[in-house]
Amino acid sequence: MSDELELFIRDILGKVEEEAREILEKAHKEADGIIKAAEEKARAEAERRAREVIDMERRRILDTEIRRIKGEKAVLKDKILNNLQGKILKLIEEKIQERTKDVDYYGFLYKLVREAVLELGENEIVVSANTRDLEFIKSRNDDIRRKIREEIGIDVNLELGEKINVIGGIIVRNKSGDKVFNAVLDTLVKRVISRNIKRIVRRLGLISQNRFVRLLYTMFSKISDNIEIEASNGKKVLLHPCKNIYSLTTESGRIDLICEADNIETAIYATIGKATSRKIEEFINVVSSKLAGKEYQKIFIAFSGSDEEVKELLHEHDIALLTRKELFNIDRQVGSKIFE
Amino acid sequence: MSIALAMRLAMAEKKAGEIIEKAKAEAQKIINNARTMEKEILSEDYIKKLTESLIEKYRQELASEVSKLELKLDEEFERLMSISDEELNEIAEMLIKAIFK
Repeated sequence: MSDELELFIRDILGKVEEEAREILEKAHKEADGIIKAAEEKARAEAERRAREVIDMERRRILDTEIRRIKGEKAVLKDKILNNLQGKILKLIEEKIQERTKDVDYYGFLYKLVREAVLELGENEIVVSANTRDLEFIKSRNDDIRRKIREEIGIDVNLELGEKINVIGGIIVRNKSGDKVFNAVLDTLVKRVISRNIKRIVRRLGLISQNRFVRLLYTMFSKISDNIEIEASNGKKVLLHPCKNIYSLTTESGRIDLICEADNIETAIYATIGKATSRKIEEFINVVSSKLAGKEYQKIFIAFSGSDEEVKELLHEHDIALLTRKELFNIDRQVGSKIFE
Repeated sequence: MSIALAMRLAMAEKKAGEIIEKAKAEAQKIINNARTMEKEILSEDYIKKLTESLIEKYRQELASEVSKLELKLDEEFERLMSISDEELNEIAEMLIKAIFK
């Protein structure tokens, strides 16, 4: 009987100890829950406060930085466009003097006079121009009047006005001087630049890096048949229609476009600037880590070309270099009309 | 049942009660400690420290964000600085055609 009781007691005590363990286990769980919840709450509050501080700092730093950079870029852009304007005027001057075939300057002057007559809606007009152009109008006055009469049915009385110091073109006024038609070349050049500004900035690459990549995305997504092109470094490249295009950014660098085709992927690094060793190495690092095991070709797009030293690096890593010229070529072949 | 057995049973019963009581007391202590820690974790001091360490971490991220932005903008400056006469002439010819067409 005593042995049986001992066994019974041992069994009961075992169960009690088990129950005690469960009590402690439950307490530990509850304690962990309390601490975890507190930590989460504290973390969320700290996160909220830290984000508030950082968001303000980010706005302040980025706003200042972006404003400063935008300002500097705008100044440079203006300089380039002014330079362009000067170049156009100089080229026109040369063409007028050389009487080149592609510029029929005197035919052009006649067209300006005719346009002025139509624009002003007056029969009596006074034309001001530089000495050379006034001389031309004076010597062809009768011809001009006859041609205008024949072409637009207006009998115009064309009077010579003051000499003005311009490269070319005319300023036409009505007799009372209250209506003016300004077609001096300086004004026309400014006008044509302003009308074509979108085209100019794209062709010259006066766009942001992000915009450049977006334009390339559009161009590559329009490839509908295989296109073979010769890269700037002599490598032949076959561009395939892309089933899917995406980009990749990692801590070590970026791939701006990855074009997925049937059996091959094309990894593209695109910079509006120049091809440099740093950018090429960054590209190689990301490509070799992210596209390992896949069939792919590498293209480096540098709108501004490359330095001589990087050509070897490109060759060593079997990378095709496309510059402005090749992009225009692809644009033409694809018909995307982005850089035309 | 003999007295000895009855005593043995009573002692075992007492011991069982003690084990449970001890466990309950220990459990309460654990919960109390957790509550104390909870208070510390949720204290203004701790949250401030946590906030500062997070701010430091985010500042580093912000610095890398700014340097990435600078690199990107460098590429744009590189372009602006490298426009050649040849490129400008090409555009000039294109625009002259538009003027004299």
